[in-house]
Amino acid sequence: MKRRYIFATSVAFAMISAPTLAGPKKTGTQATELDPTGRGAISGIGIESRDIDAMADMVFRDIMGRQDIMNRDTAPRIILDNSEFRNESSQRINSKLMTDTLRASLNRTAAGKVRFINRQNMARIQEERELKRTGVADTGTTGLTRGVSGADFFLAATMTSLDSRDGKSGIQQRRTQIVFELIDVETGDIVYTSEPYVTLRAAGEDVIYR
Amino acid sequence: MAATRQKFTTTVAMIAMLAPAMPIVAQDVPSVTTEVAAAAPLDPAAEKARIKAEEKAVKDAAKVEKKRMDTLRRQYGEGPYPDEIDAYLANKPEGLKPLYKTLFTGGERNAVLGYQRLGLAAMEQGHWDDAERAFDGALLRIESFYGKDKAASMARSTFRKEANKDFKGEPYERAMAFYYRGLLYLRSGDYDNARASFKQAEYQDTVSEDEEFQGDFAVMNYLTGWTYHCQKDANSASEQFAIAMKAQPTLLAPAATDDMLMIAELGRGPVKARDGASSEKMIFTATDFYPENEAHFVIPGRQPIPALVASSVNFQATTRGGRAIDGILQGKANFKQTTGTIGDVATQMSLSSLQSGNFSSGTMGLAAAGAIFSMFAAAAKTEADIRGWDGLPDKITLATGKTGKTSVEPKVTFMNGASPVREGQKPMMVADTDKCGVSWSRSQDVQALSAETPGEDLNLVRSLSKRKDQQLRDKAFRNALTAN
Repeated sequence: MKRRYIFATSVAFAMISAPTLAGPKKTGTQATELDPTGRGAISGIGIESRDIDAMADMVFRDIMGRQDIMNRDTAPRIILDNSEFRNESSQRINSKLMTDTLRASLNRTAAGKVRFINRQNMARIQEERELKRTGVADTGTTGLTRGVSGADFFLAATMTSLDSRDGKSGIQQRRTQIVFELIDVETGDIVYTSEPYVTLRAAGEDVIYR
Repeated sequence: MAATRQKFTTTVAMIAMLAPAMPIVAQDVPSVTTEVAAAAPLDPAAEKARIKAEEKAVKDAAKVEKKRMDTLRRQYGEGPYPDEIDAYLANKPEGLKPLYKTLFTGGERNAVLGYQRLGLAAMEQGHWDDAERAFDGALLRIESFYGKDKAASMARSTFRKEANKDFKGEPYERAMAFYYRGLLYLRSGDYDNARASFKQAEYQDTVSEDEEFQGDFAVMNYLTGWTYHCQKDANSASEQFAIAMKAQPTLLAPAATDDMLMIAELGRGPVKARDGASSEKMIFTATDFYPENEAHFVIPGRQPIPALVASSVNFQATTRGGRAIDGILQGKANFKQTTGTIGDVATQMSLSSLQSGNFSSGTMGLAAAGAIFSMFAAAAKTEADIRGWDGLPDKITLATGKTGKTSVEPKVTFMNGASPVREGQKPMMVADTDKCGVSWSRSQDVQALSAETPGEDLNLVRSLSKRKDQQLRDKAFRNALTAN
């Protein structure tokens, strides 16, 4: 009898206290380490983290596989920065995300078979050259050159998009396309065009937000 | 070993002697002085007492803090607490503090609106970093897809108000957030992202129910064209100018040599109001009268250039057509009306029966049914959400000109027909990048507007502020604000 009483009391206590013991409802998410090449915790219809890596990897492999560029007697010089990255899409983006990732991959792997030219810090470079030539700063360890390095190619890219919307369902869709091209700065020849990197994504909102 | 120790002791002793006389040197070698202090013999009992006293002080401080937090929690729930607000506002520009406070205390539910209003005020006052951050905050949420979240479910519920939902704005409000962000990009010479912003602004207009009014936000096409013009892409530029001029035939494409875009915003934008038997409709009322209906710009040393009307925000707001939410609100209103009618009829019938001396169980049941239906009718929440972005302009006018790459500041004169309303006004924003310049002026600023959220339902705010989940959500929002 006593055991039954204890059991019943325990069950009643458990039922009453269950919500309390379960704790407050989860309302947040702790900072989580994610794979930058994976889908990520948040996804939309535009270019995302994984696309930057996938696209840079695609162009990197293409260029590394080009014997006419990588196997020259004299390493060709390439300008690879975001000055020739044209965003004509409807997505706001910092294009350095793409060009920096690509340059880092290429420069680290090319091991001197290709040289990359910096034009974005020209003012700083000119300033240092001036200091050396006026004797304020000593010459570096490699001596002086008549000018900064000239480039053989620059890498250009165009990002475009096509947006559409279904008025009834509220679903929005966006095709985004990025094409890279390596252009000979002397002749204007396009010596390489990447396969277009294309994403087609759609998402719909709850009816109250349409 | 002994010699090394002796050398070290001598060095330490010398440094210790020199330290008071050489305060600057002593500051440069903090690690050495620390070693000297650590090397001094300690009284174990005194050290133990010191540690104990320190631990007690920490515990006492924690107790005081806990007591303070308990008091604050009892009064304010999860916050925001007054000292939190003060700390957040401490380093904000004086003229923006009221709007920063509204943003901070308004929570995630009003974040988009808070950011939009803050961004525009920051632009007017020349706080460009604040403006950029504010519009980025708004656009981050506008560009997100809001799925089946709790707030959306509540807004759909018959017994909850539409205003439960997070404010994301009507299409014209979303478009204007992209428009202002685009202007800020133009100011910094980032034409790619400016173009992306204007394209997105124009895209917001595609939700219009009537095809005639889809994609007719001509100023967005014009500004898209201007970004191409500044990047010397004449083909793409003329394509966009042609689209703009098709929607707004009075516009003119810029001359090939034009390097300055001048924008003047006139009047006040749409004001939201409720209409319908159960206040279930959101409508736009006429804005206050404003005298200025034209503007012209003056580049120093040149003839005045008339500003051309590119778009009207009021027109954009009022030609959208029906909203998807309107059907839901109408359903709520129908429910309220039907249950109310049934309740009234049942109550009337039961009262008549009671007056005629019929106290049967049927009469009592009818009275009960009437009361229940009336309760349902009263509980239905049909009111449309009328939170809105005040401070928007009505007309957006513009012109282009040639400045010859010198730093110039075009002046604007606001006109009522041929009569000047305000002459030779300095632009609120003027920037001359290496490619193109841009100036931006407004005839009506936001200074006179209240910092409180326009159209807010204060009863709902009180009710939401008691909900633990809402409190925690807003707390997370404030934490994110203070972290940035």
